[in-house]
Amino acid sequence: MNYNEPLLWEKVNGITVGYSMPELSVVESFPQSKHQRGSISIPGFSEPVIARHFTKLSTWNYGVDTDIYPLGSCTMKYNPKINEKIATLNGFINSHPLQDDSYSQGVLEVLYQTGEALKEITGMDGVTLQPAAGAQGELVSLLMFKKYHRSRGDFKRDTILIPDSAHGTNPASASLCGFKVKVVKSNEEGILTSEIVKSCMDESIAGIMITNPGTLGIFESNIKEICDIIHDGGGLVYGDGANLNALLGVIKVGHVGIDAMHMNLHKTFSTPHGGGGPGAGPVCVKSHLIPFLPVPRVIKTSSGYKMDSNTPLTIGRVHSFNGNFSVILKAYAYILTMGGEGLKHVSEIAVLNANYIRQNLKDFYHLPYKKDSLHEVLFTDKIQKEYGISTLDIAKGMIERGIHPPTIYFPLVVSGALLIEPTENESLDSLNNLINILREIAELAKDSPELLLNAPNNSKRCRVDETRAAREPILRGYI
Amino acid sequence: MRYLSHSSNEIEYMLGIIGKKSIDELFDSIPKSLQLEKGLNLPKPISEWELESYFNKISKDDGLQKSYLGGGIYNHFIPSIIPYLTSRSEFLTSYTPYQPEISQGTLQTQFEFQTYISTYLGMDYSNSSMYDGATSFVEGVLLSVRVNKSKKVAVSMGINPHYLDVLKTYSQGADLEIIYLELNKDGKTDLDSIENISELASISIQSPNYFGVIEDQEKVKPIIGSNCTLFISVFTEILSFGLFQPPGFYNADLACGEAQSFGLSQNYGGPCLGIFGFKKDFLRAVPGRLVGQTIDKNGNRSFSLTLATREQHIRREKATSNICSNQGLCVVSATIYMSLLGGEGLKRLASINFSNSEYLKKGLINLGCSLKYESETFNEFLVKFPKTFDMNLFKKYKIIPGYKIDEYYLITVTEVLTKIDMDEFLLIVREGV
Amino acid sequence: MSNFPQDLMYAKTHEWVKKDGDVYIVGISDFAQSQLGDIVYVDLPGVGTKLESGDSFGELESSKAVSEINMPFSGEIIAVNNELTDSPELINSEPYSSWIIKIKADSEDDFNKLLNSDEAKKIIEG
Repeated sequence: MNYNEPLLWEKVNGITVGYSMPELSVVESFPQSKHQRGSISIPGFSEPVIARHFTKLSTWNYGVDTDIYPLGSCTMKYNPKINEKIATLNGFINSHPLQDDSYSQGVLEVLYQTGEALKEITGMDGVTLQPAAGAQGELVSLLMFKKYHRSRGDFKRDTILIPDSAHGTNPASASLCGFKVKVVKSNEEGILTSEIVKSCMDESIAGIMITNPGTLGIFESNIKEICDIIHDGGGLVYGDGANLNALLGVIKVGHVGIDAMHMNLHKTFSTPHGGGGPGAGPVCVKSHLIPFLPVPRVIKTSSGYKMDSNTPLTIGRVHSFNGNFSVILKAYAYILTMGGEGLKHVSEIAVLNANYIRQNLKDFYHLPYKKDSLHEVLFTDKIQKEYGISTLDIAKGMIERGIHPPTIYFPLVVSGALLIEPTENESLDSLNNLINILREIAELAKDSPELLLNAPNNSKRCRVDETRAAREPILRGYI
Repeated sequence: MRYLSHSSNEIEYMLGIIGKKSIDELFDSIPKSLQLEKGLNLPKPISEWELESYFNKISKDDGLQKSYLGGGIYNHFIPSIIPYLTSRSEFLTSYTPYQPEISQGTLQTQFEFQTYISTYLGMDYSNSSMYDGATSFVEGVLLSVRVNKSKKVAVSMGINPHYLDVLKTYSQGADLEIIYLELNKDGKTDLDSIENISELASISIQSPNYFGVIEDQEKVKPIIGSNCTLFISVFTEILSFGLFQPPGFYNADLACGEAQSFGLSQNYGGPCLGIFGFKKDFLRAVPGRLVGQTIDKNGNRSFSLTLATREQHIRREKATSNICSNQGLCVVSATIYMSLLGGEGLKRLASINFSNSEYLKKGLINLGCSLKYESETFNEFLVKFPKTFDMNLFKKYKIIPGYKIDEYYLITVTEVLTKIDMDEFLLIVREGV
Repeated sequence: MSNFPQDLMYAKTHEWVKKDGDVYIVGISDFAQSQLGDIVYVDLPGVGTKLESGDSFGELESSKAVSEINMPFSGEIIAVNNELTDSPELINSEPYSSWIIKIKADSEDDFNKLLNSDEAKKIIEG
């Protein structure tokens, strides 16, 4: 069924209050100052009107519960329902961050135990749960790197090495930390080599940021040697945990030489993406970085859990309070559900699914890197380009056929990238459906490219003019 | 493993297609020397029922007290329809709306949010949200540093101390020179000293400030005069603008703060909802996501993310911020909240909050408590209990009487507290004195 | 195939330069605009700015990409094409009449060191 729904302020009669206003039980007071506000031109509506408005809008969205969401590097896995239920328990939602620790023992247990589990999963020694997202976890890590070097009297390290295939957040975070960025090129196989890293290493290098497996879905097999080179040169190694879903129970990054790593709880640990957030980006560190972790941190004492700020060298606080508690809670529930063996199974099946897709599509789409894929596989539009069909057209063709496209045009180092990450949750039917659709599109590209150029036609909106949105920005309505 | 879908036969079949003998072979690209020999030292998997009972058990004693805490996180009623609608999987389990054709629900909601927030704050525009009030404030300061090419910034000591902490953390990267503006005896920021400071990138004032005091923000722009210094108006209690003038009224360049009050639970302080309102002059300098209106191929009104060239995934180290997400689901909550209340409802609710807190404030004064600041406040005020009063009495009644700041308590009152609650509070003080 | 008019000279970073008396007019090539896609915004420098050869003097944005525009040689910017502020799409439709800046060169020789149209064509076909 197709229906429209106007913007809220286009509805008539927006003067209702659809909220159960409490009785004023005390004598009414009025502001005495010149600062009192007059009327506010925001329309209000009854509860049923609002129920319909947002229900209608929601049906124009596609979610993980709709079908496969194979966004590479985003790990759009299933969001367990029990975790949502747990996150609504009164004791959790009614806890105020400034209440005494003795009133927050359940909350603090969740934080402490989540931290312990993440340390075990990464093989690290310390943790902060405060970063509100992966990008903030990166920032926290690099600020710690900076402070670590300075605490040793080393002030000349002003540059961070970043592979050319890295997420944009890596250079942006480095820059926000006041570092210069030096790009390291990966080789023709799509990985970093010891030689390249060695040639970049000198006394100006504060550290390197490595995503492993890289954004091409390939394991950085020289990681140990690279960590050694950086450490020998006095630098530190940051691990971008965006792709951790490939490695649970398979390797521990702490054993490999990583000094600090963020994890995206909304990727690897199943918390919902919510149409853009909230996420959470805890950071695990090796012992030499513990003194620099953000405060406060939860500790376990003989008299229970406590929030502790006694960390003189800390980089400080990065969140209004203690990070996105309810997101952390859901991740903890997921870890408990899966257990150690379940988490390993997650990575195994995620890798199996990605390779199954790779094997079934490699004759239809160009595979720019031949090395083994882990949890995601990278194709390009090179073959389809010859018929005038680009990655964008392939993506829109998938929408027309009822499934969400993969990540497109990322990583930037590959022209026309299509990065597919199925995750461990997809059934064989679901994987085959994706494969069949992409095969059909590959055929169409040859035979009837115009059908793809015009797609999609059956979604709520046909192809949206994003150029127009940027050329003449309309960022709000006027009420 | 109820979240995994393959049978062992299917796994065998898939391995056969791939041409691998075992799952282990799929990991051959990882040097054997790096691979774990032992499994993770974590507990065994547990059932849904065990899980629920564990969390029921550990959470049952938390958050039971009658709380007068605020200071950045506020306890307000949340209409049931908000968690109901936000638990719809299309809102909950979708990604960032990069494919607009199948994301119009998220996009229209965020466009409505941008419209409601900018209208409510009296600003030209709002982005589609930041992590929380603290990072929104810091991003505002960093914007001022970028556009004015000066690292000198002035911030009021009336800003939430956690927000100032976060600024200090970020300033280690940005190398800022932070000038702290003291509060006068009336609890309002001392603005006189600013006139002698040159090349200031921005002045940040919070109102109502950390101590609940309504600041005289109309004085800020005249002091700045023709300088290009930005005025950043900060807030932690967005409901206050139901009753008091919003940042735009004072010609603020940026309005940065927190909207947890609009439909989000306290949740031990997160997730929050960072608000970033701005004047149109800064459109290309702002951090975070923006949703814009456009049309589709058939000319139908559509929405999409826009001006993405500011962001990290395109501009990398030259981006306006490293932020890569927003608080999408919290935006849905706040938009529903605002559209249920409307302007009239927000005014009324703010008035109830104000009246409640004035009632308790006056009651406490009558019992011999003293205020730190006499100025007008919204919802929160700083009070000293008589020396003879034993604060431990509150514990007996399961009341958290506010947040202790030196010899004072920051007491916060919202609509969830009734006259009966406050009379009990007053009675305890009367008896204790 | 992108065209490279014979009467213009080209920088390796795909700017074209036209000599007009002692003033040099700069825009971007047909090839460059086609690579960038629909241009939505042009960030122009201030008149009077002095820059070195290869320095970025502005930016071109499409909806999904941003590209710096570079000085073909050292000099002072003496005019900018303000028409592009409102109509950035002109660079797509008429790349060779949509000039971006005018430069007073530090050295007259620099112009002759640029690529001619055949050489510029070779680079992209390379």
